[in-house]
Amino acid sequence: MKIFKLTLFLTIVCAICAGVLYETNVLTAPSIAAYKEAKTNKMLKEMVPNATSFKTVEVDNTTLSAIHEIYVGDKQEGAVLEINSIGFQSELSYLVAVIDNKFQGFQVISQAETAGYGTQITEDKFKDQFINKDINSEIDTISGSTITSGSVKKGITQALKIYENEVKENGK
Amino acid sequence: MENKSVLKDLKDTLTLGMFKQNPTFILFLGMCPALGITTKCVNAIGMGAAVIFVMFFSNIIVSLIRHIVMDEIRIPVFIIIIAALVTILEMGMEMLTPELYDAMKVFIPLIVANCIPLARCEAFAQFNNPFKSALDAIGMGIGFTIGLLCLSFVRELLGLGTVFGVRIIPTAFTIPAFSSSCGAFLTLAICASIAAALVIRNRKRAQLKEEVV
Repeated sequence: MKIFKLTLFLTIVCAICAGVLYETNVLTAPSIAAYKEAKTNKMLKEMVPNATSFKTVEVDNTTLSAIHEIYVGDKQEGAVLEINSIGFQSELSYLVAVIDNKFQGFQVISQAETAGYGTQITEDKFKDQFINKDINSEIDTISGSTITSGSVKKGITQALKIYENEVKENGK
Repeated sequence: MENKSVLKDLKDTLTLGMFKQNPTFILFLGMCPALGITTKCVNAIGMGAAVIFVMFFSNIIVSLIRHIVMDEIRIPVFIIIIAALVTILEMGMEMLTPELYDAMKVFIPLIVANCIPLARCEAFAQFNNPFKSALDAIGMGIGFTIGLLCLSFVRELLGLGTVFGVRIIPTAFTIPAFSSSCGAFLTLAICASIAAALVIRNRKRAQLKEEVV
């Protein structure tokens, strides 16, 4: 009979913990989501200062997770791609603005790479190459941060392909 | 007289984890965060505070339920309590301090696997009253923070040339290896051997005293 007693006790403990966690989640989830959205919106504004609004289209893809279409007035001008890829030791999430077949900015949303090495993708030296650059030209990687910056390069190339297909499909 | 000995007992409980049984350098518990996050002093403070929070509540809860938990399932019960607390902490941090959370989100779930909270539940809280358990948690937590701070001070200074983000050594003269994992192992080994030397010295002194008496 002991085994029933033990099982029952463990079940009760689990149930109490689950209940407490549920309550905490209900309490915190809205403000966490609001913070994330505010953070992305702020970044979008910084990348494309002349945009008047953004229309976000979620994409069901592991690399390209969302397309933020840029609107200047009523006119759509390019988009900011939200891209995810696996870096050296963490998941990378970043934004790339593409306007008229040119890169117009790069921002990292989140990363947890090695300080001093992988984190160089967040520095201006790396980010500045994405200003007024043809989307078909080579993206420079960083020596000492081969895997992280290589992952960004690969992510952008893949995301661009998916984005172009999407645009073509919608164009038809 | 009795009051004094009670006070001394409480004081010993509090300081035990800080020096005599420092989790990082003497007990060698919680090595994963000690090696992983100590690239910057700020991380050490954040991680230390997070562990103190988790341990404080896990020790108190375990101590409160110590008479009703059956011996056979005590470890799963403890670990569920710790895991739940860590998840609450994770959600709470993401809500209240999103910037700090962004810097530490890889390491927070690791507190569950960090053996210090479990070890203190197992070795202390399940035999002692909630008040003493809370003191033990604070003491051990501070000891852990001290350990992390020692490591991250050396690593941040040599690896990045800064302390708490303030530049002390110019970038050109830093040793980037200290920011990577091999630097972590080196620093840990050196700090642990210094701690061991201090322990031996104290023991010898105590022996000498006894001989003189």
